[in-house]
Amino acid sequence: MRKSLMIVLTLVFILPGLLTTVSCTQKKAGVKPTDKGISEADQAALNAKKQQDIEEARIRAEQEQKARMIAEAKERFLTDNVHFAYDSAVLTPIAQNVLNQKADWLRSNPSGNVTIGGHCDERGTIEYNVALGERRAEAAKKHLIDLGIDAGRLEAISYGEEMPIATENNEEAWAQNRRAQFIIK
Amino acid sequence: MNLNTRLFKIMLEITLKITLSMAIFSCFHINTTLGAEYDYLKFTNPFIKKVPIAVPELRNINDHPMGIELTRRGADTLSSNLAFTGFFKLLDRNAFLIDSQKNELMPSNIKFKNWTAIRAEYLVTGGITVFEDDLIQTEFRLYDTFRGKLIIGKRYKGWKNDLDRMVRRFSSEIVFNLTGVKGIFNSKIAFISKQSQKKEVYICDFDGSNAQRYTKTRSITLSPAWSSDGKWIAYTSYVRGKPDLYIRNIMQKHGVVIRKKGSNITPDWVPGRFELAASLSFSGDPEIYLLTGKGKVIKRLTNNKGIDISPSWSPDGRKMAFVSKRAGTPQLYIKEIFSGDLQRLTFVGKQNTQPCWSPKGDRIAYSGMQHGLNQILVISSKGGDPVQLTFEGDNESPSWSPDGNLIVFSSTREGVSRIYVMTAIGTDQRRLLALPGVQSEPSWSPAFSNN
Repeated sequence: MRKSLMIVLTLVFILPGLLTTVSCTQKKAGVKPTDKGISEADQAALNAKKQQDIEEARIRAEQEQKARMIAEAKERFLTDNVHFAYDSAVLTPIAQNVLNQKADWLRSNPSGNVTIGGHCDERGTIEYNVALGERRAEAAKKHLIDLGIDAGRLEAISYGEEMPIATENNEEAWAQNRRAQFIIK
Repeated sequence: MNLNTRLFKIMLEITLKITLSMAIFSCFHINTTLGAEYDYLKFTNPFIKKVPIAVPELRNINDHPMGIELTRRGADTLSSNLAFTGFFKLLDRNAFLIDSQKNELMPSNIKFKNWTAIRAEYLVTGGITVFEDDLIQTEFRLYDTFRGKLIIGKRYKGWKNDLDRMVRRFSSEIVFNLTGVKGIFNSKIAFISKQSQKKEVYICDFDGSNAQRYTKTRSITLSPAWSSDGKWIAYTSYVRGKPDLYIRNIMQKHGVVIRKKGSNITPDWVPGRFELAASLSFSGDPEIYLLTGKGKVIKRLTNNKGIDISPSWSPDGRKMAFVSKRAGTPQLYIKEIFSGDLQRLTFVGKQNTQPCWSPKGDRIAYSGMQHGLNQILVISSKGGDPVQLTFEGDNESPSWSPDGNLIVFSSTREGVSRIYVMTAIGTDQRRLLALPGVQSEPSWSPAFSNN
């Protein structure tokens, strides 16, 4: 985040400065022919090259930033989990908000098919958690379908309590584990 | 004796040709003075008032050097088998008033006063004759010391390595003759063991010995369930990326996979039939279906939006206990299959799951959550107040022994989840085994009539 800010600052402050410098040089060249043997044509070509380099750097920076944003969006898609209350598969407003962002990503990545993994904390019994995890994954899937995502792109699979992301034995860990987690196929 | 041995060898050769790998070649009934009728142990709580029983060392009948170790091992195995049931109090051999290798244990010489004096209500005597080529003959007798009578006697012949199996057979005879119910000594326990994030089905003997891996899924595998003839096992596995139901023949290992859309979980076999119930979610939510052993849907047994899982059949196959969240929290229900009548069974607690109907039919064991931990409870199949049997750690997955006298379950009381066993009233809780990794979801097999 800080990096991209730096780039924006660079673009805003330093580029105009460079441009001014260039135009000054041009003026000087026009008034007083150089005695070092560089012809006006050469000078113009040099300037054009500089211009081109600057333009290319700008495009590159823009592209890099775009790529970074895409990567970040993908990262968020994979790591921002949809969380649930204990023994519940009901989507809270926060959960719905996370799913809205998932829908945005799915819309801007129309070729991406995903698995929605339903997970539970360790407190319920093993087999009940497989069923509960499925209700969670299905609730997330249904919400995305309601938002217009093609059902064929979404597969709900319950992992019950078999794949915790936090292994501690406390409410914080349990809350992290009660989730629907997205995987791109 | 010589003639006997020769006859035995001839008979042995014939038997071998017929039965190839059958372990114990023969078994003779020793005539008893009593007929078939005998008063069974009748206590309201047999596990609280245990029956004192004496098991002296077996006699080394032909004084064979190999017999020294065998006679001791035979008596030890017999003692631990009997102790395992929870019925018996094994009397200390040091308190016995006789020397087991002397003639006092010959059937004709037994002085019952020597046994009633140390308050032994029953006495088990036995002897081993060692032949050439690691062949042995064992004999066992069970006496009622206060009545001074032989209850049952048996003689077995086989290899030296079959001693444990002979002892198991006679242990079964003892339990059958005293309780009227067949013992558990030939039964097995399937369970899940987790190592390096993989879960596989393992199978061990009734007492936790001889644990062996059964599946090689290299995946997550859950909820093993035995068919009532013990020939088939069903379980859920993620081999193909999602929870599918596998039905396999134990010995031949062939079988079918039910991999309908969604989860295919929690199998339970219908007693006496090649059919099972399981929860399948292809319709959009988990519903219980009756399936053939080949995986074909016979009919749908539940119809309710939300979670319906974990069927457990009554021993007569007429009713099915299961878990439903239809009232907002997971609770146990009983469905009468033919009439379709439905009854809610549990009302106390916010999460009651994993019902297991007892082989006697009168009770249902289950897991109930209290303060974030599961405990094993037992409730009458007609409803009423549940009785809590476990109190320490998280306890899950109760499964009855085939005689209905013991319950195997998983517990975290000593750290990671392991397999434990207790009596039907919750006494004598002990760990059954500990393998590397984590063990869970034990499932007790039916009684195998023969080994």
